[in-house]
Amino acid sequence: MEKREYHEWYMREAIKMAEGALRSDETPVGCVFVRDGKIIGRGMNDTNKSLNGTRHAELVAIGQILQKQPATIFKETDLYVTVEPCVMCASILRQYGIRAVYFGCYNDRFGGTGGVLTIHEDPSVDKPYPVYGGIFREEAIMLLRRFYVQENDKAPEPRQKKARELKTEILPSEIAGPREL
Amino acid sequence: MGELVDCYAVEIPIKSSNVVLNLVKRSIRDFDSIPLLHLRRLAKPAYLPAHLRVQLPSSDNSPSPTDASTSTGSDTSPSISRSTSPASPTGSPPPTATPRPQTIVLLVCPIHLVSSERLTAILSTAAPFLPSPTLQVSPYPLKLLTLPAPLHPPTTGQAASSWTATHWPTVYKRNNPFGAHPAIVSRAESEIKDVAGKWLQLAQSVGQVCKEQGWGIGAGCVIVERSGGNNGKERSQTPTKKWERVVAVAGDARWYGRPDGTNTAATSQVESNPLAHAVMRAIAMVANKRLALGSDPSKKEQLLSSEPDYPFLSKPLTPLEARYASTTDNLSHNGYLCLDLELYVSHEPCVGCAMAALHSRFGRLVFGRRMQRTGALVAEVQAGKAFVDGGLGYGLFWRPELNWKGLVWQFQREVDTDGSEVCEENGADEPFSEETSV
Repeated sequence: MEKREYHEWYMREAIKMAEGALRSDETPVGCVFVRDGKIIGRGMNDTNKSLNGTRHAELVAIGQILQKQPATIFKETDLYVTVEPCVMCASILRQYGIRAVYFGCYNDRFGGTGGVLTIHEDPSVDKPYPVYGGIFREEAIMLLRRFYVQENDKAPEPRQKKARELKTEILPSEIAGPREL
Repeated sequence: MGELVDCYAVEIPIKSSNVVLNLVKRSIRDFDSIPLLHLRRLAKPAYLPAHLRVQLPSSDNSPSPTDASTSTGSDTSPSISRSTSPASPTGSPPPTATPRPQTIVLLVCPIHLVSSERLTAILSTAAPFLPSPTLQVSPYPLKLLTLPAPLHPPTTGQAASSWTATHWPTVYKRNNPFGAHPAIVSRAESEIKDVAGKWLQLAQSVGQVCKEQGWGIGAGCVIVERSGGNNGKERSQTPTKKWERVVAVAGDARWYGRPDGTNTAATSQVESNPLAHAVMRAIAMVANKRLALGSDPSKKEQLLSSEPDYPFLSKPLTPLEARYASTTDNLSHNGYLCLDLELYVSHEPCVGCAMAALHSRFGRLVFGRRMQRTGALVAEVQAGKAFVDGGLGYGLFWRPELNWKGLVWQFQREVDTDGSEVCEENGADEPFSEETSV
């Protein structure tokens, strides 16, 4: 992949956002939106604090961007996100016309850009966008694992996770993605 | 166990699994045509049934000195069988040969999709099976296995463990891949069928008010809470009067003006804001209520009805929205997201909104107008239509792969003379009925 270092720099910034989410007891997913090499918006998952299951990192950042800029800006903007966008975010991003999405690891529970569905490239009235996975995948997975050994005390019946251990072994991706960096 | 399907499997060095899986997915036509989501795509040799494990190149102990130390324990329990690892505590390190790589076994696909010759040809182009340019690492032996695997998902965890022991590592998911149990569907239907028309009418009005302002396409939605929750669970032992109440209503406001006044209905085509679709807005209103319920009363008003928060627009924009949004009296305490709430939408939601409803844990959704080109709920695709005109076919309310499922109906007013209304379930096994005007 060309310009790998360029993409890694922005993914580092996305990981910093995810680390922030972990510190505030949110699912550690973080993202940055980049236009002309400049970060125009940052987001971290906010579902627990907002009590809104749709406040994913991407939507939080989009919300921030749209307060200052028109939606047309997304056509010239790339997203860097630590975990593949979910089905919802993948669709919203497509409706805004995002230029490209770079992500760390796949989401095999509700990923929308290859993990479960391929919302970014399926037939649709909106323009498709390319996705590139695998940038700092291990870091993204370890952040999630660190989170999931904690308990979600907001869930109706919190699962007992006391016995859970933090695993450090990472198997190769089970999903044959579109393109790996 | 039911029907079996013969599948190919191949052992590969763990580091190459992504490359190899990508390769076979790209090279084999209809690779995913038979869903085998209940079978592990990649399995460590130690977790395979013994009769498969012994067929793997890694358990062939004669040519490589690295295996000699571990092969004896290879048909006991997975935890002590480490036939793939050269770093066994009991074994001495191999003196000269390069250590065997850690391996994993890839379940490729059912054998009728590709001949073994063709698959061998495909696989032999993958890195682990090619001699390395420096000749320092010898290529991994390419050996195709054929094994019978259960075609249908297990219905109990017990079945999954037993198939794992006898056939292939199998995963049990605690749900039915084919849709909700008919008893659950009919019970839900009996609860909603008399009121769905009323709520959809309200949803339409809510959308219409926003449309008249030039803010949206006229779509609207209504979130309803029902006594006893919506799974028929009675929360009290003594039967009490049943009730239902509107928690929130929201209209589509995708063209609502930006705070700096730069977008108006005139520029709406380039400025459409999907975060302000009706469903997204109504979900946000419920979240605001939950926040208000948990905070002190002085903050309540700020949370429920302050200035519009562009672009989410989670505060009421019209008096009709405000009627339900500005109070917490119409929502039970201690709820989780939209669990046990019902969603009535005038139009079939888009992919973003349908998944937002799943993320919010709605259990029941009723929509009015079918959105042929953008709707995410209807599973059937009309054959012979080009591009997206035949529908997207997502069936996004009951996908076995996703982590939440719900019941969905398309509401139809009965066309015949008695004027009564019926609810048609858009279930997984029922043909979807044609679009009707609502």
